[in-house]
Amino acid sequence: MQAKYDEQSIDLLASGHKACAGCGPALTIQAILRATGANVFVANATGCMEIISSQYPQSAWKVPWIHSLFENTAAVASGIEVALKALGRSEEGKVVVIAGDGGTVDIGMQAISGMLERGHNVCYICYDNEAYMNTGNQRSGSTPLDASTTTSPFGKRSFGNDRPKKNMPAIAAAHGISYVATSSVGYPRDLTKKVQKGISVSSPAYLQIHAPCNIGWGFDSAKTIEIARLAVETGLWMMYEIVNGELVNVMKVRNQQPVEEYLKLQKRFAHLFKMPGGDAQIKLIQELANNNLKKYTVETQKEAGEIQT
Amino acid sequence: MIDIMEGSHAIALAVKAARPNVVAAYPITPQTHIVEDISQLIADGDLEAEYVKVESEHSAMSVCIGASATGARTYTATTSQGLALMHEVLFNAAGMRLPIVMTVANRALSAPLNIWNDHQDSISERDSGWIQIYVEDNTEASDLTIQAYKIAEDRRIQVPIMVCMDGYTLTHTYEPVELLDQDLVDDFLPPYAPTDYLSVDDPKTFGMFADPNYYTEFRYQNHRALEAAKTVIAEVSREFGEVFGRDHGGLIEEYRCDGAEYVLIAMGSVVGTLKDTVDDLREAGIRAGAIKLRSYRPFPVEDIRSALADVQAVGILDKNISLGYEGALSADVKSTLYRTNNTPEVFSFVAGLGGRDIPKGTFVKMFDWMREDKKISTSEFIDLRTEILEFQEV
Amino acid sequence: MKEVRIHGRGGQGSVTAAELLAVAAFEDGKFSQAFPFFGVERRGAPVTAFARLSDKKIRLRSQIYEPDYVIVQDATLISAVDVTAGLKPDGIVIVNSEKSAEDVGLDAGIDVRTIDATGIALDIIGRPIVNTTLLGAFAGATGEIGIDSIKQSILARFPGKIGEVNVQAAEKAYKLMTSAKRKPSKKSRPRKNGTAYESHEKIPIGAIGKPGTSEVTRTGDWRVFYPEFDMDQCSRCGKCLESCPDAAIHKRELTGREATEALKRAEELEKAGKIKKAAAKKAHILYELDPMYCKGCGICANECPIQGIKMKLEEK
Repeated sequence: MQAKYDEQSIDLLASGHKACAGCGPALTIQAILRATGANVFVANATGCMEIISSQYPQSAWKVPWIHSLFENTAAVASGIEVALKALGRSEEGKVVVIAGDGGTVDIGMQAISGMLERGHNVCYICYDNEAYMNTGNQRSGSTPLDASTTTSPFGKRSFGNDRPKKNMPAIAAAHGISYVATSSVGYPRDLTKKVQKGISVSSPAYLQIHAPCNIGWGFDSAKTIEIARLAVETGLWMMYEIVNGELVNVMKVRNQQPVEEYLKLQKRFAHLFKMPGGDAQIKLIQELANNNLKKYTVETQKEAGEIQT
Repeated sequence: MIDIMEGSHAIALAVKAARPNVVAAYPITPQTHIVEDISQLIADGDLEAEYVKVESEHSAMSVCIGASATGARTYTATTSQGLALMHEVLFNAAGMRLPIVMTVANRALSAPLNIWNDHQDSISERDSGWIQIYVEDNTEASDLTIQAYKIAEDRRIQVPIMVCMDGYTLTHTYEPVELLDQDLVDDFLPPYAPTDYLSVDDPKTFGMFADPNYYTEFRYQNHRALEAAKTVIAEVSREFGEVFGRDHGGLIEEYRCDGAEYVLIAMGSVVGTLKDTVDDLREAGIRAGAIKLRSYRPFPVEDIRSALADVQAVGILDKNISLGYEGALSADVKSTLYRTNNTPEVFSFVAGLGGRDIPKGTFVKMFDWMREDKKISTSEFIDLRTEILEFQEV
Repeated sequence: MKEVRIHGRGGQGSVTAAELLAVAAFEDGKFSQAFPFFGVERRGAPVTAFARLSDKKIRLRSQIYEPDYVIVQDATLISAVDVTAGLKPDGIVIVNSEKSAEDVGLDAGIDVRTIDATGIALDIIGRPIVNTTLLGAFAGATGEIGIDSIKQSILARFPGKIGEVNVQAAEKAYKLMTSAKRKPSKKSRPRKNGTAYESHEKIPIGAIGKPGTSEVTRTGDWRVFYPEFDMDQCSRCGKCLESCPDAAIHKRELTGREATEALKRAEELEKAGKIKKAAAKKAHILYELDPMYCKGCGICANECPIQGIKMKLEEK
């Protein structure tokens, strides 16, 4: 009798894509597509994931997929969604955006705001690798404090990026949408679960997935998931849901790790351990983590109520 | 049937007759009446379409791209700054070969801010891979809107198309318009049925990137499609004439060019005034003629060569200027005449910028200069108020 | 003028090698030029970089089609890319390989010099970064550039300890190469116009692609290390599969007689104390590596809860 492949092994992002070994975002997409299954339309912003998967004539996508430009992906997705509606094909599949942090929190912001405000049945998923990695690690609005990038390098007068991350999930939630969630490639099952929730609502949903880039961040390719987990264990990346405007299901950090444990594994923060004044900066980052844990608390951990759509 | 209405309303009715599935637009003067009227048609249940009230023109075109790639017939309209904001999206739509139809209510570009008509907005997008057809009156604008879908969706070309109509001069003018019979339109224009579209049953990858091994070939194919559009535009125009009993010409319309010594080429609504001027001059014994250039892209090289084969002098009216050079149409016509057997004298006129009116007298002046063989510059601004000019001589 | 073409994989420092070569030639008082084939390649994908060395100002801006020298940073490229395309009749090909020149798979008529740059780099630098080692080999094999200039250019780019170990590696390769004999090759290689076109299929209207066609790309060629699965200890949790960005780990469930036999065999092994109980109970479930696509990132090994996956150096 013939051996059969497990359903979970069906890979809708095919092998042979040209992502770097150990790519966090590629891993994110594998998990997203396992959650959505084949009945999905993907609109992909310009960026690493677009480039590694769609060099003519080779496509890694086994689902209908479109790339148009960098900043217009939410609008393209809106177009797919209304077209399906107009053509009576809405049952065919869910429309999902996949975009990086630059395409989301910076240049894509206006189109996203429009899509969320208009209430399109689109699940927007941002893979957050915290800089413009496609073009070689330039600073984005999602780059964390003190990360050295090529446009926010450390130097005699610089500790690296001088601003903390833009709080995009809060901006998305401010549109009054029913489902906002953060997750991490360090927790593939949490990620899958949240994608499934995001696509189950029939109105806009926003997800931001922390997805380490071993090249840009400077760590060994084997440690992608480990680093992602450390971001959560230190309190630098919070995992939560905002359902119908209410913060719920914050992932508890039981033994908070000192931020150094996370920072020291990455070349982008290496200067903090060598420069005079670096220790004070590490303290600042520790404060950010502590504040995160204070800010994202819910009295009781409860399952989110029915998501209003 | 004929009825009197505003140009914008005629466009809205034509759009309705074309039965688009998705409309996405952002309001901008002087395009607003078109999208307001379409909104009302949808609100009243007279047009079954999804109207996406986008937050910018950039998103308007992007929604059209997503919808068109999914297999929907799409429509948008804009002008001026809105068209400029769409710039990169226009190239993207054309390169993806999506048959989107857009009305451009032609208007000047800022700065200084100016809401009135000229052609600078669409001329500045001439290399975007879109067909551009300029119309003379509101019946032509309405009829062309239907033809535009048939042209764009023709499987031999698959190219998006701009219907360029002068802002205010046409969009806000009441005049009698030949109405479109819905049954005839439905026969003429069957529902959009693309071969390639986004579908989970046959999951294709749209918008791939092409490296130097392929990019040139994709561009060449696209270029050939634009060239082939010349044939398609003419075919569709003829077919429309057979069905609806009226025709607006092919790529160009020659007006009293038989035996003409002096011919003026122009685009858009001003051609009407030009035709009247030609009649006046002919009556006065001057062998004047006019060419209405309908299709600016693709550029009707052969038609212009043949129309100008025997003329003595040709004047070109540009309602645009490529600053530091000359009007775009002038440059194109001159290069068209290169190495033809008869090379007429060429007179390049820039006029009608930012809503500056062009009365018959201005055309008379142009013909006078052509007849006098007056030495003028390659970008002669007509009706220029020299008395208020001040600039540093270098 | 001498022209050098460097074949490598993204992340191996091919472009840096070309730049260092140009800087070294400049140090030698020559005019030089270095440039990559501007691509979008990520780590591991084949890349090409070029360098020109001349006594006169270099004006030529095209890619290099008839190189005097070719450096191959990764011998696995030989099966994927025509590395000797256009090579001049007396050209030299320097290949990073532990094999002998005859065994790397290039035509017998070509002057091939091999050097185990990966071995040297792992030994001296501690990482399989071979570009500086190969520059030492280039200086030794061709005599076009002095080893001192190579050293200078390396130290200027990588100051401190890193530069020093890179210089040591380059020197070692230099010495090994200078002792190697030159074998004049007989014929020039057919010239290819730029990159060899992969496909001659008709292009569609608009750049529309077919699903999953990336599977023709053997990304397994990129890896330096590969994961070895210890299925005798495997608890079948599936974390390796979930942690593979390349879909290169597949779960396969045996059914029917195959499953029964596998379980029976496992039970016996368990009784003999050779495999764990958890593994024996799910012996009909297999997690299999697809070597064609595994890039050797090592996430699966890092995430395996029982440390049942070991990363091993790929034999090339």
